[in-house]
Amino acid sequence: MSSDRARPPAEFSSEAVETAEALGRNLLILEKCAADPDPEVLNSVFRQAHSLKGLAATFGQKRLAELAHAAEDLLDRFRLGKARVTPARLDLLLEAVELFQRLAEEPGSAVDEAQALAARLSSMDEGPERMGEDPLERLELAPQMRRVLTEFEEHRLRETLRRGELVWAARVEYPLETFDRELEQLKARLRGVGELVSTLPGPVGDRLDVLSFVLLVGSGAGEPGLRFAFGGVPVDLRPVPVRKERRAGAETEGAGRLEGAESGTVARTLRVDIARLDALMDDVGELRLIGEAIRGLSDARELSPRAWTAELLREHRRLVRRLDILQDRLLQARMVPLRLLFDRMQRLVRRMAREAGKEVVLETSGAEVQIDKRLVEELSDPLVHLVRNAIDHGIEPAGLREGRGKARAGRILLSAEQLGARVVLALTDDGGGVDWARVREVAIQRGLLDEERARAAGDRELQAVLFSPGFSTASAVSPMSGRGVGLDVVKTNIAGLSGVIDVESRPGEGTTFRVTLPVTLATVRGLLVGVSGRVYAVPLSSVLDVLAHDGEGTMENGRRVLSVRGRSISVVSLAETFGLPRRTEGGVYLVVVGVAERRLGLVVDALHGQRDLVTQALGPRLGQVPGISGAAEVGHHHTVLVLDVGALLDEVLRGPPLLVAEA
Amino acid sequence: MSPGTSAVHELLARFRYRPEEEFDALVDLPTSSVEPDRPVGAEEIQLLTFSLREGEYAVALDTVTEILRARPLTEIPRARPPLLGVLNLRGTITPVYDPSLRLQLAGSAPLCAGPDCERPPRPARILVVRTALGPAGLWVDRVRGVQRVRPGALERPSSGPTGGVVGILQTAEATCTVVDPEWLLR
Repeated sequence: MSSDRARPPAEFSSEAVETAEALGRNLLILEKCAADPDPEVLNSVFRQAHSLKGLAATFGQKRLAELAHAAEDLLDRFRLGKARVTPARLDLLLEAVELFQRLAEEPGSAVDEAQALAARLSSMDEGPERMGEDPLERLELAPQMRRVLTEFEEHRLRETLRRGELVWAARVEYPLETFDRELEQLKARLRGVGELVSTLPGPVGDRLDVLSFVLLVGSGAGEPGLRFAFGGVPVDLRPVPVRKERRAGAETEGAGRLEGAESGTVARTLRVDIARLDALMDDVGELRLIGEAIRGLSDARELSPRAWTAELLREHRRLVRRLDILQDRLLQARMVPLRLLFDRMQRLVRRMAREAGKEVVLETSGAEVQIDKRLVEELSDPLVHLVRNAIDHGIEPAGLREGRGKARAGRILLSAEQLGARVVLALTDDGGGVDWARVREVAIQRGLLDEERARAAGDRELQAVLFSPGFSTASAVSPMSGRGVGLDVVKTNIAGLSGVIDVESRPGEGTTFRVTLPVTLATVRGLLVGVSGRVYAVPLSSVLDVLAHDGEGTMENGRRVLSVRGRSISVVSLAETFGLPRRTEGGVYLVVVGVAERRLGLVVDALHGQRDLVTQALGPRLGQVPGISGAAEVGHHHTVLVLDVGALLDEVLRGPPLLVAEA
Repeated sequence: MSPGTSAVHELLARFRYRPEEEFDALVDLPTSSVEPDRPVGAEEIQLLTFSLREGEYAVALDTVTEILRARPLTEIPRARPPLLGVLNLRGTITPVYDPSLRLQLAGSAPLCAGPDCERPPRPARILVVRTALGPAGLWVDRVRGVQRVRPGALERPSSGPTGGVVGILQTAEATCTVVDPEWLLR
């Protein structure tokens, strides 16, 4: 296609996105120490912008390179103390990070934005700022030393002096072979005590195997502390004299405006440890050997049929075992920590809160939990949606919060926890909670529930309304203080990942959205059930019980209810629900499924055993198909649909679906 | 300078090297690298012609990505026409539609999915077309072939369903209705 030519190779996108991620992370660290930026952090941020520029230039991504160049310029000014780290500037830089990611994923997607942002970044670094008198002039450094200092080193010396600390000159000698390591170690030991600003060449001695240096160290610690850091090496250490002066003033600046894409993107490519790939190669080698062995069997005429069969079975066992190992290793290689996603949310919360004019703090836990890379990608949009919802509709404005006796800043907690083969992600805000009365009203207005049913509806039923497509149009939701923007989309996306979303709201205290997902998408174990001659797969993670279906049960509120193992549960015929002709074949079974504390018995005609299924989403054209979350191939050209247990629970426990599959 | 000291200098230079201190000018890049290609000047269009019931129809060939032998589909419960069912196209779930509904053709849709469906007739094909919402299939009775025509050769439709009808192509043997595949799926 025509756009393919402009598309850079996947390794570019992957590396660029990762670099941008790291850059964004460091910018947030920088924000925390903006008043007194850590030079190490400044340097690494700068280096990341620089390598991004190089990377973009190498791959012919002009816009990205220009943008990175503009960011790098500004960061260089930070580094050299020519520009102060201000919130407005950090905003711009973070905005640039989002754009980097978008440009890396989709070149040419935000060309105008990139240009505009580059221009704004450049305008941020115009003209030298008022810094007062140069304190470096007060440092009595030998002229030949002063001449060889780099701009960065000069800046660091200035900073040392501004803090009222001393600059120390130390003369040291290190062996030629190990001097670099020695200096790195010294630098590490000096951390917290002082800063190794410069390593100037010392006087040339007679010995060729030794290098001598004059080190300039900025430190507020006394001489004993410094000597200790030098680790007992005899060293000629003395402070560089300074004449005493005053300090410089501060600056003010207007806040920058923020706009741009809501969500960045998570790279669609994956970095894999070479060792893991090597192991996979070994597996493939092993499979080749098995292939050869089977080929050999095909013309092993000397074997008796019995021995031949035994051989064949032996090779088959080897094959299956090796395939299992291969699958395991591939699954492992696909796992990434959730940190990537959480970091993105940090930046997003910061920006969205600012846009909404609210104070919001995002706390995270469980960032180290690992899930399948594709899940991370597909989770991104739903999570952005939920975060935006929490900020726009959940968290109250600071004034109102104070009135309610809450802290001014709203708190959002994003947590992840692995429970067996599932991961539970929870997003909790301490906002106003869902306004159920308003949800009821809107549901009636939009014809999702009739008045009578709406009045009788419990929290569960209203919850389902919250996630239904008809509920979430902007006109219905914008005037309301509750939630509802695009929650149906969130739910569909999550169902597509064989996941379930639940909401729990405490009026006045906040709301929790809980997403339960399988750890890996690659395969989901499913129970194949037969219904009127069709086969459907039920994710085994939501199957609680399977039993022979006896007895008709009793009718309660229009629902059939049956007592199963001492518990009364709703029972529904899947054939009826799906409007299929009755074709009972063989026995009748009851498959009890459940999500959270909800239970439902599905009446089916047949059980076809368990299978590992590679599930696929139904795709954007079909969108949300009630009761179905995806499809999986179970044999040559035989595709079965995977049941969306969460949706079936909603439907049966509430009523018919709001929207039948739109053809 | 002796070779010994130059080696030391080299060593020191390498130690001091900081990539961030390099300030090269921004590499000058050809602007074309991010601009999309211009459309190719189209003299002729290629049409894929097919039969449906008694009629002849065609879609632009470049919208068709694949032609499959018709096979039983997986039924989507509670689906409404013209959706027939889905098939798994190398890992992409592809919905398949019956174009005859949109074309207002008589006769009921073939039973293509579910346990009661029959083996599709040998000539039946599924045209996989590219759409804004991903691939979709069109169930047709038979594929005729590819026709190259000049855009001027298409006539305006005089009667029958309009909207998605791009034009009418008169050939020696038959009258062929050229349609927009996206419209057939709606």
